[in-house]
Amino acid sequence: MAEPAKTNENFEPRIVAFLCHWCTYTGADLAGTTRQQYPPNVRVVHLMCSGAIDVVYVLKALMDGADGVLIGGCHPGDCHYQSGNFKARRRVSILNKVLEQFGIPRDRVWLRWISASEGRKFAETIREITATVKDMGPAEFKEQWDV
Amino acid sequence: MKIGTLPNGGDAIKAANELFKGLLEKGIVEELMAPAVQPGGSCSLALFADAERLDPILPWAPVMPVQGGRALSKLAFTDPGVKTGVVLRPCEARASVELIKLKQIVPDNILFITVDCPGTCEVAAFKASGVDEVEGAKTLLSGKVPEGNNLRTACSICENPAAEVGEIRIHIFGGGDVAIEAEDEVATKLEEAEVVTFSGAGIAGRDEAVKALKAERVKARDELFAKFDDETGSLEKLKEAFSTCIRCYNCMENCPICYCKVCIFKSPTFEHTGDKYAAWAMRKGVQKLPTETMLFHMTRLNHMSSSCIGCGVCDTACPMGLPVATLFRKVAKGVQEMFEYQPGRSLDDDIPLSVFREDELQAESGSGK
Ligand code: SF4
Ligand code: SF4
Ligand code: FES
Repeated sequence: MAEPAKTNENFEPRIVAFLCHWCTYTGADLAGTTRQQYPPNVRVVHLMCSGAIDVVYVLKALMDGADGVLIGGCHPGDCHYQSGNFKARRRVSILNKVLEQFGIPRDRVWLRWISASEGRKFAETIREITATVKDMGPAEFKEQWDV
Repeated sequence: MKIGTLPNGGDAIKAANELFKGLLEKGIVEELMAPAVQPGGSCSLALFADAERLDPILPWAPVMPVQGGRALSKLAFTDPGVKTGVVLRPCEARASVELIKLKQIVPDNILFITVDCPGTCEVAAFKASGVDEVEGAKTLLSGKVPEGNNLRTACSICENPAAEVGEIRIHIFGGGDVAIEAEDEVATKLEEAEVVTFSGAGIAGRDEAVKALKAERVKARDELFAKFDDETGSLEKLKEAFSTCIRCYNCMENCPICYCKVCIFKSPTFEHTGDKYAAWAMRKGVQKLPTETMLFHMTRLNHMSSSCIGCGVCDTACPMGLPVATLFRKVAKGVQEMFEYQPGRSLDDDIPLSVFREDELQAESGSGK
């Protein structure tokens, strides 16, 4: 059989990142000020805490244009509101079960703990997500007219 | 717990109704919510305050148009102020337990009476079959299904049909007797008022019968889930299966667990402006209306599947006959197993989305350490 055509080569994925104010958003800022290189595919939504995320916004993003979603929060134990990230972790765990039933690959949604001092980790994470999602191609829902 | 049998002469409905009459007459409760046959036929729930007017009560009504847990969250959203008995099926009792935890039911004045449940038929099919309500109930109690009817899908895969919560539990599984089990304090009250006596003996074969029924239902459930995955196991196929959803919200409106006063789907967040619809059509070339039907189901699954008690009222409420309950129960099973949570089992188990553990779900959430 012939090599499958690399249809995704020219595809530039769009990543929506929901970042908590106290850690990952500040980490993203640090990535910028320290001139870490990462792909420009990411659009940031600024939240006070990862615990403020509701999955409806994650799903809505995936249906309306995003190919991947990152939820970034403080490391476990470091949430400035004590437990927001633990609650986000429960919600994302449920979301993964729902995505599975709907035949949507898990790598569309990423939950990551990135602190204010981890500018390098933020850049690495964005590189990893962008590369993975680029390989996956456009999000399942977003081009379909009948959802 | 104390246990005894009710005098019944082979008639479970009569035995239970005698008990309810006793509860009201002796003032153990001042009002009683129970399934009832309406004068125009067809069953519903009703709230009885007059001990002389209990005739319509049909505890094993052959249909469940309204989920008792949901009904209770209306009449006991605030304390009714009078002692209120509620006759519930096991799924309705489980829904009530969840709703108490969700602060939608004030339980202080409620006396929960749960009955072993032989299952129910679909409302519309039952009506069309022309079977008399009381006869239908009797057929179900005898372990059969009324002519021209099927057991509802949700009932045919219900692994918890036995009365396992509630201060009073009425047993029918395992033999011709009708047994009553009650928490000690309630049992003492019932004995003092001479409503029932607790001999210490229940239905000899009940435990075995319940075990066998559970095993049968688990098998049916797993077969149904496997078939469902075969038929809807990809996004394309699932979309096809739900392509006639009109986003009428009936499934949600009737679900006992969906308790929000305003669902986000009915809020301004989803009241899109005209330019938004235009943008969808422009971007994709075509846009189905109503929009976001899949998003609605996925969101509801995320929000409430951890507490889905499998009553199947969503199936009954869906005007399009979509397999809503199968989808929801299937996802709920995975979610509930992940949290080792059994909704409706106990007031002491915390609702999964209300708590957390510090060291958990690294793999399930994909977050790593
Ligand atoms: S009741 Fe049926 S048609 Fe209405 S929103 Fe639910 S699944 Fe869709
Ligand atoms: S989702 Fe369906 S089966 Fe589950 S609790 Fe709600 S109405 Fe009952
Ligand atoms: S403040 Fe960062 S996760 Fe809560």
